[in-house]
Amino acid sequence: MGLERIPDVLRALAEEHVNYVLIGAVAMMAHGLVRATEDLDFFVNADADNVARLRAALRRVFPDDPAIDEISCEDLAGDYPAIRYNTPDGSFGIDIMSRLGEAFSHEGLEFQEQLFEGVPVRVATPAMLYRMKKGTIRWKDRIDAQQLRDRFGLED
Amino acid sequence: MPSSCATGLDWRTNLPIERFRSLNEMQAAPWVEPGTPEHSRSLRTILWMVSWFAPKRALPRGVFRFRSADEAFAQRVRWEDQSHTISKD
Repeated sequence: MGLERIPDVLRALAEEHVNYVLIGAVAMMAHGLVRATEDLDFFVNADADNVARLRAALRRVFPDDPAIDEISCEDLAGDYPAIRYNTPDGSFGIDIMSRLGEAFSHEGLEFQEQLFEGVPVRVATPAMLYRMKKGTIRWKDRIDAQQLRDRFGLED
Repeated sequence: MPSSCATGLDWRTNLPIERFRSLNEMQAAPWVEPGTPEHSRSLRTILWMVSWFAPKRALPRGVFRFRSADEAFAQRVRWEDQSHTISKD
């Protein structure tokens, strides 16, 4: 079990009607920009109902993991806007964010739906990803930003 | 790569050869159209390949809370450094 479970997670998010927006490497791949990844990253709306649906989605994929119950709207809406869920076998992690500093929150993200094996996946738009990545200090993000700018003709 | 490879990916059977004048031109060439069945298959294959070829990790299982994305990223790096590399059979 490992990254090949990511499609299962995306399907579960759709089936539980989770309000989320995919970012990170999988979002890059969804836009046709290939890069390896070791994680799944997305923003969620931190309201109680949505976080409950998120827990239900993760339980569909990892049914025997009680740790999923620890994902709470109180944390995501409060002092801990970034939550990391590492899967039971430790092979990959899921980064769940409600906001990123003062600049980005789930509510402000532009996204589009793309089909993956018939499942609608909510992906941040190329322009949105570019804005999120261009100013960071992580080298992976800077490379992503350059790829997005070149492929989609984006400007500062 | 034959189209009947184990991953099930049909490697551009309609366009088996593409020609480029430079590396830049090659990198700018479209991969597969997002949202198409070919794209879905390619994504699944990439995830499978990364999962198979990347060093196997043993991240600490469970839920971890962070006050910022930077804090989460720093912890991720520490886990990567500590994670045992287990070769696949």
